[in-house]
Amino acid sequence: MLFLRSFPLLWSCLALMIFSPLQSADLSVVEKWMATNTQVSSVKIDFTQKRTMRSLKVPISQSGTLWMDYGKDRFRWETGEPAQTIVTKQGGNLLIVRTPGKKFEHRPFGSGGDNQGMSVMAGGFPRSMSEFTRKYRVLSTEKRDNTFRIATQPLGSAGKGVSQFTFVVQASEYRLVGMEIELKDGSSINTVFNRVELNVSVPGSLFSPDLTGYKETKF
Amino acid sequence: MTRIPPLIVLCVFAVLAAFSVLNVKFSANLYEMLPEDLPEVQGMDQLSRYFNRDGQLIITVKAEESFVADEAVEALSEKLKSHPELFSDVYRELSLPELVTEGGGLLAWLWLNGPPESLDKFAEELRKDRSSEKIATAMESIQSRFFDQSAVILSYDPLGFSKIGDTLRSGLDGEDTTGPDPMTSEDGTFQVIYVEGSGVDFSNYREASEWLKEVRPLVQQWKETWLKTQAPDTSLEIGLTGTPAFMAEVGAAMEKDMTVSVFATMILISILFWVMHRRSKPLAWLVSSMFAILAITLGLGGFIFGDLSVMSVGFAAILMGLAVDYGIVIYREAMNSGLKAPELRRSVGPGILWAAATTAVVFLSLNFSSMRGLSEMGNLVAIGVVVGALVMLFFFAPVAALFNSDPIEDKGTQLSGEGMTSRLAGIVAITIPVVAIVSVFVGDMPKLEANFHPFRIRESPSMKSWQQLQHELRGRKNSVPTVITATNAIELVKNVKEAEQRIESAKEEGLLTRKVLPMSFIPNPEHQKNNRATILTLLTEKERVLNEIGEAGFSEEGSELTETIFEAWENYAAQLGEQAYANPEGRLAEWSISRLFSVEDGVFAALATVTPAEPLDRSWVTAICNENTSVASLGSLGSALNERIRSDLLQVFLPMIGLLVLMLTVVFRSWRDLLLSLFALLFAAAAMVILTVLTPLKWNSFNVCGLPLLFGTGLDFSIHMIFALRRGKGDIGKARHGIGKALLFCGSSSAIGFGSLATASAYGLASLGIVCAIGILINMLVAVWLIPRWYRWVHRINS
Repeated sequence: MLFLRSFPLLWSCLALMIFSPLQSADLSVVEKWMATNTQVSSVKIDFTQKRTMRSLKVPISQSGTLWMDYGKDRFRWETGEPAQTIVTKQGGNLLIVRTPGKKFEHRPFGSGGDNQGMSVMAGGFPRSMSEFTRKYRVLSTEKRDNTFRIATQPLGSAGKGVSQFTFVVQASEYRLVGMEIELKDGSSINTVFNRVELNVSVPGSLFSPDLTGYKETKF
Repeated sequence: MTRIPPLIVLCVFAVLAAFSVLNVKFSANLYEMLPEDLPEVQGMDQLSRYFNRDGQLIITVKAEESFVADEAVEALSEKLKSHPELFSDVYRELSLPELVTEGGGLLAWLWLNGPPESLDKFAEELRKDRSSEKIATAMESIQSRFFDQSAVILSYDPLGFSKIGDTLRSGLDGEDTTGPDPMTSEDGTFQVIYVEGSGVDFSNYREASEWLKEVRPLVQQWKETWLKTQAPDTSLEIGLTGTPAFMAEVGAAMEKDMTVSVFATMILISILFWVMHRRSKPLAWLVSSMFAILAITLGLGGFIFGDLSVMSVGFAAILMGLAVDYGIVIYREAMNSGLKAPELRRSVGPGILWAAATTAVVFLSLNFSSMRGLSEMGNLVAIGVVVGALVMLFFFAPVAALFNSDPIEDKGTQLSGEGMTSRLAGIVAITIPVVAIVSVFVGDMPKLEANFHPFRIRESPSMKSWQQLQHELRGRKNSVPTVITATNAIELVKNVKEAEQRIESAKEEGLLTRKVLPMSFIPNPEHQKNNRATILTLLTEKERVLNEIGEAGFSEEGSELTETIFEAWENYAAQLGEQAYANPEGRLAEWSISRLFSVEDGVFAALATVTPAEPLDRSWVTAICNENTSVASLGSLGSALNERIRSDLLQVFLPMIGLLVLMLTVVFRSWRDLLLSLFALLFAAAAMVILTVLTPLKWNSFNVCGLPLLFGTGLDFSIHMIFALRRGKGDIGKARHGIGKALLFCGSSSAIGFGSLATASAYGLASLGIVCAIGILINMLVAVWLIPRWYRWVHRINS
């Protein structure tokens, strides 16, 4: 269906006006941020996410944890306490688990529009300058309070439907502390990293949740 | 009359001819010159008639990144919309907010038109005791799930109306159901904009061409301006394709081809005349006569045939090459005899008229070909040579008679009996056929190219853009439009179902790899009638459902789609009270449905798509086509045309050879001359075989139709030379000086006429011109230089 194919362009003009590509971008901030990632093999992030959608009267807030294992190209994303929704990625597949209804779905990564916005998590944060420039085009860098805001446009299929992707980097240590995604329909997702642990132990069971008693479905 | 300055005469008739060329109406539809009984040709015709819009231009946008393409398409669309004098409408793939606003009409129509059981099931979920649960589940899913595009869509469509696609698919063949044409490539870097042109009559390619002359700079100027606002390394490719671009391109190419080939022929023939006769005044009158012939023939052709096809473009140059021969005969006779015009006509008139009649018959024999374009070209040349004979006899002859006070016997090129020894002629006679046989066994056997490219324009930016579109958009690669027709909507549904069964069988046999059927997009009166009652019941629940959506936390934007669907259902229910089926309402719905369903001149047509496993093979065409199903397949069309041409050659060419052998027997009454004439033909054929095996020159379904013409000229030349040799008792010098010089001029001028088509825009026409020019030159060389020696050998004349 046409509905499943497209995404809006509404914010593109505005984004262009605000973050003109001709505006000079300070790539040294990105380079310093990337330098902090070189020795990172895994990461655990406790986050708070706020989704503001035009179609909903009030924004949605939720807390969760993200584990990323760079070595084996896998992640686990969960929200709620106890976990309500768990999403894991191993190789090219996503497993989506909803604990309240005891249901799950296997889905090839990229098939359900999940390349929109969340691909950064799914694909792992860029860890080198060459990877960053391959995946993002920097529109601008701005220092605000004690952070640097790196406004980018995701390249390739990850850019579909995304008006702007902003990485928020701590000004003193150049660690990533949050992300802001503006979608082209006017919706936005702000994610704040409350705690970041590097090179943590990531047991394999984290990425293979026990599905006993769960029923496969299509969400 | 000869006191009038030749330059003025020439200019007057050149203007007359140019005016005639400019007033010719060319048909830019390539399928109009092909056999109309082929399903592939019918498919192209029906695709054009029912689904192509004359004024619909397709603008392709290719960027390195999807967001660049998005922004470019958005900006370009706005630019185009700001020119209502050029564009009545602009369509691009809609953004989500636009889909929410405009998609309601389409979704409502699809539910109404879908299977009643699907709607019943959906209506059950909207019951008072269940709808709030469904809405709450949607909200929970949006709040808790991994955030992705489907979550965004669900937030605008909490009841799941947009899952109609899944619902329809569940009862059908998974991936093979269809949606509207995709307008964006998988990676988003390639996108298309459909533009409805306005302000001109797009059925006239000249007006379409003028319109495009305004559109191209507009788009180019926008591109340059837009790129200045982007990063320095940003690149953007813009292409124009679609009916107006094709028509303007083909039409302009045909006008150029005709003009260039005619004027090139005129110039080369003039040079040839000058080399051989060294006289300017008669030359001016001769060329003027040819312009007059062209003008009269074009007028008659337009009157009789209406629009001329791309193949007919070549007729003018061929005609010039043939008609000039009559003028030369008259001129030489006038110079040699000193006769006045009436005597001149009595002297050479019968011969010229017979020659014209014979040539006309040869060209009229092209009517036996299945190729309509070739028949049309043959008819035009036939008319032209008759007109040419009359113009030369009644217009040029009186002028030529006025020049006969200045004999020309010693002017220009002369031929002698020297240059080709008996020994050399004997070696050549053996070598060429042997080399031909060897090259066939060592190289490839000459065969017809199995593709459609001979009928295409060589340099075609719009075709390149179209091919890029086919390549980039999902499901378009190697896909073949399939048109299914009927006399009413109910019959169309039945025919599509039957076609689906045949297509499915072909798929199971491995003939097809994919099918896309338009079933959901064809009005189904039976479904709609049965669904009306359910829709009326649902409409009574509208306010309750909308309130529930709002109470669950969805904003006005979140309930907008649901509201527009209910509004559309109200309109459709009202329509169904008055007519057999409801027509889709709203810009998106009308656009989407019209891409796959059309009613034109009382014919109901649906557009499906199939992807053949072997596009060049025809077995899949036979498997799925019948009297109401046809395919617009260029791949199999090449094979179909080759089959048809082979059949034409067998049915036309072989009986023609038998008849001519019989005639030659009667004409020569000598087995030696008969064998000599036939050997000359075989020898020329062997030379052509060598050329097609050892050079890039190849046979195709277009140029192979030149074979009967080459056969005719070869025979003609050999007859003339053999009779001249008979009259001179084997005197080679005498024969070459007389008929040899005439054949040299006639052969060269005809070769020039055909050869001037080498630059033609259509591959096929250019290859026809090259093959015929080479063939005629070979025939001429054989007749003038080899036949005299072979004649003496056959008749054992030693001194």
